[in-house]
Amino acid sequence: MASRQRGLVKKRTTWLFLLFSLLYVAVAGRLVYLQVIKRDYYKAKAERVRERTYPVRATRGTIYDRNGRALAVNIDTASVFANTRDIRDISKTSVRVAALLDQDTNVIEEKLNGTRHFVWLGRQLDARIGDRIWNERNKLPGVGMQRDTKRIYPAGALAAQIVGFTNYENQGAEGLERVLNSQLQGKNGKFTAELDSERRVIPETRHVLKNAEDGRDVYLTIDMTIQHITEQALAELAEKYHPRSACAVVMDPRTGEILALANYPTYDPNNARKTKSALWRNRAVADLYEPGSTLKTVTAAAALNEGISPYQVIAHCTGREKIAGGRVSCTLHHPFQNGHGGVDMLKMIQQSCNIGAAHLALRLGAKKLYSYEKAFGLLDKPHAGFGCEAVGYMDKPDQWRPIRLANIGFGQGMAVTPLQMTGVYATIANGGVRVEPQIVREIKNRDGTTFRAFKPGKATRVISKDAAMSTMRLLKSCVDVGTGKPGKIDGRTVAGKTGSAQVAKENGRGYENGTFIASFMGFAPVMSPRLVIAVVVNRPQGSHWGATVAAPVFREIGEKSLWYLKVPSDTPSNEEMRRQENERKRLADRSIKGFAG
Amino acid sequence: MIGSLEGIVDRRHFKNLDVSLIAITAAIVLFSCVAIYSASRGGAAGTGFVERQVMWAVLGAIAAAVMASIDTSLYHRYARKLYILNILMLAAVLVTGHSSKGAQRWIGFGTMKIQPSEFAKIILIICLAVFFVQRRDTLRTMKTFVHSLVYLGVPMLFIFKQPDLGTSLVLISIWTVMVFVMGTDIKNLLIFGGLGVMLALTAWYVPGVMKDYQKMRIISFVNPAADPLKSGYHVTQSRIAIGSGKMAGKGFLKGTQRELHFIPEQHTDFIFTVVGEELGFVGAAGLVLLYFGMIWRGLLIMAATEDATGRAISAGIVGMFIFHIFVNIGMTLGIMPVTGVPLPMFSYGGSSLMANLMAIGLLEGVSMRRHKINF
Repeated sequence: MASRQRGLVKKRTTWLFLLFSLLYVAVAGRLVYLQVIKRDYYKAKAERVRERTYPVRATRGTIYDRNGRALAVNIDTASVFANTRDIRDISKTSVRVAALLDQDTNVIEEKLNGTRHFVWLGRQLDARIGDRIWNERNKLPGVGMQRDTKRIYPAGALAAQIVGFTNYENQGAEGLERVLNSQLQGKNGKFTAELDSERRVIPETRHVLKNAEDGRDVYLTIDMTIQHITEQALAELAEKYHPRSACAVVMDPRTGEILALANYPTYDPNNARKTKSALWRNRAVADLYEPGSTLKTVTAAAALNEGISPYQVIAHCTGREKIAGGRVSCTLHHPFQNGHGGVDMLKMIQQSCNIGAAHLALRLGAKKLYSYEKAFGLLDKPHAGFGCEAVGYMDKPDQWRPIRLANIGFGQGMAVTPLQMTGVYATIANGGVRVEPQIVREIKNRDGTTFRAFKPGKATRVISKDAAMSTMRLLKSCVDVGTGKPGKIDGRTVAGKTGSAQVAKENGRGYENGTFIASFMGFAPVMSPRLVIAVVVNRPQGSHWGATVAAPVFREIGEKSLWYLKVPSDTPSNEEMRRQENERKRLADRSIKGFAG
Repeated sequence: MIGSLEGIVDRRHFKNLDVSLIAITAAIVLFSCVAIYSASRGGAAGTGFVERQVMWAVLGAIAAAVMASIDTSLYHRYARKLYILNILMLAAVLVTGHSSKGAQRWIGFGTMKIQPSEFAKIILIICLAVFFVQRRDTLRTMKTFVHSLVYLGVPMLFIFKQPDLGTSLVLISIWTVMVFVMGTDIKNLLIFGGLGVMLALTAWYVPGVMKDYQKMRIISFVNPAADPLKSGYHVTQSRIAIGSGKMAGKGFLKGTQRELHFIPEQHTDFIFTVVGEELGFVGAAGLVLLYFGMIWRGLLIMAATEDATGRAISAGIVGMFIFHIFVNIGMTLGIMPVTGVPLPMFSYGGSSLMANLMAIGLLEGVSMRRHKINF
């Protein structure tokens, strides 16, 4: 019995030993495989695990105004993150990090307790906060810092809708920051570096493989001073008339360069994410409105170009008239309470006679009028470089019923953008030659060489020089003696036109009751125009007349900007007139006294 | 049969003291202190690991001496009480235990925390040995086979519930080797093996039996690239660390992967990677050889003893060590799935070190009493 037992034990022990040896062979074989046969493979792999490749961030280009004053620049910041798996004591870490970041401890703790392994604790913070985090890195395992740059806009809200802003990744999100992102952003380079135990880059091990190519600088056509004047004028207007919105465009008619383009209300792009996105919209470029009387300029210019005399009577205005199956009425001011009477083109523009414009449109015919609207650029998308330009809307002429044609004659029943209307007045100012408006003046490489210079856009003749001169005269008389008087600038000759358009209902059926878009557009000085200024005020309160609401804004912008541009006065100022008058009186008095004496 | 009295060792017994086993064990423990020193340096888990490990080694050595001096006949007297004590202890873990990393494995005594499942293995080896010896005559029958399985199953379920899959599997390994050496019918084992495979398949496919992380470990073992940043992370990183150690290693305290903490649990479950990386193939193979020697001595003691209880105990201990060593090292080498099984007497951990030294003490006791001594 015992010996049988012994034999069994021996046998089983042997089997056990064999099994055990087999396992050992597997372990030993594997060890040889890893450490002897594949050693170089794993050695390389170990190095790769420690070494990581990171981008060398390119510096985003600066945005300047036409005179090299900065509108968008970069500052150094730091972003703080956490790899939650590496954190040892969440509550302790939260308290310290919250103190460094000046944030609420609970908020940080909540982030660290979340399900994600990687969380941002703060982005684009003051660079000094990043330095503090870095200095305490050994006390804060799992918390890391990444140096970064942040876009700031030193001029604040100035030209906010033009410049736009960037997102956290320093990519353009709105405005020219978005449109010109590919120019501004540059190309990231590459560097490798070893990581420490918390998977943070060890600065001493950085090895740059490829340098970053910094982004290009963008120079706008905007003049910051004129932009400021314009925004200031809109702000003063808003204080007085509380419009829903307002915008103004200032352009050099000779080159199409936009010197200022302002929208009210506005926002500060430094805090864009905290503002309503509706404020980011560049309404002067992207929003359509019915231009109303300011469009009579196109009707008149077309007629003049077609050879109709400005002094030929085109209608007899009694204040209201049934035309082509519809009703057209004029707003009548003293001394025309009973209608404008016999109306020629001069009177039509001076007094803004709708009936006259309607008859003129009917006389031109749908096809012809449409072709002029098109030639003036109202039906083509402007390529000014904003990237958000809207294009005017108008039915095809063969679908126009006669009343539609009559209405379009004075700017209702169609829609355009303020920028497009600015283009119309610029064309007149430029002697009938249309120049595409533009916002970007130059793009420069980081080394200062020009990458792309924008020349004045394609120039196309829209109306003859004579027709343009005649139109100018009409517009000048409107400011001198007509409805545009409030737009008169002291010591300057001014051509301009008012507009007080009804606002079309959202559903397209008829017009809103009692709401208007007041506008004024014009240029100065008349004989060699330097500035075209368009002011469009959406739903002002208190008054809806272009002359009352918009013309003073035009005057304000024009007066200050011309002075700033050192454009010489081309007509005696009021003071000069008074002085001359006094001198004349004095001389007359003296001569009378002398005679008497 | 007149054995020595409790706690008193007959002088004649020292003749059969296995000195080489003691030497190998001492070498492993010393080696482990060196490795733990490196693994815990500048580390995440704090300091003082080596000091604590040395303290536990001293306590363990005393415990081993005590174990060696106890005659196996004593176990026959107290087996039932030990078995119940064991279950109570494991139940206490589930009720009042400390949890760490999703498992509840520790109970505290003042400032000390011990891991009862480590001692449960030793107690179960003793109890099973008594169980088998008492049923010596019916050992070959299926009935006793199943009975022993139930006897094992109760404490095992408690451990499985913690959850501690690794230790549960250790228990199975202990029992398998014991039942095999004590002479069960091979047919029984084959049937059990077949059922085990079926059970494993059921466990895998029936939801709720296995934790997701346990499944992921197995999935990532089969294909580490499936989830290289999570479950596969340990597997890949430890392979990289060991492989990059090459023949001679990077040098003591010079392991870059160790330094950068790419491998988690470096001072405990994955300590073999530190040896592999810093001391290379030479160091790793040296350690493997030490373990080989240890098991070899264990097998010799098992084969030589005339005492059936002693033989069963040796079988259990050998089964335990084989499983621990193979699964732990295999895991770091990427030939076994990741189960939280420490490397005996090498991984940092007081309870584990003490329990393993007690096991060595048991083996020495068996070795010394290999011949029945008659007065």
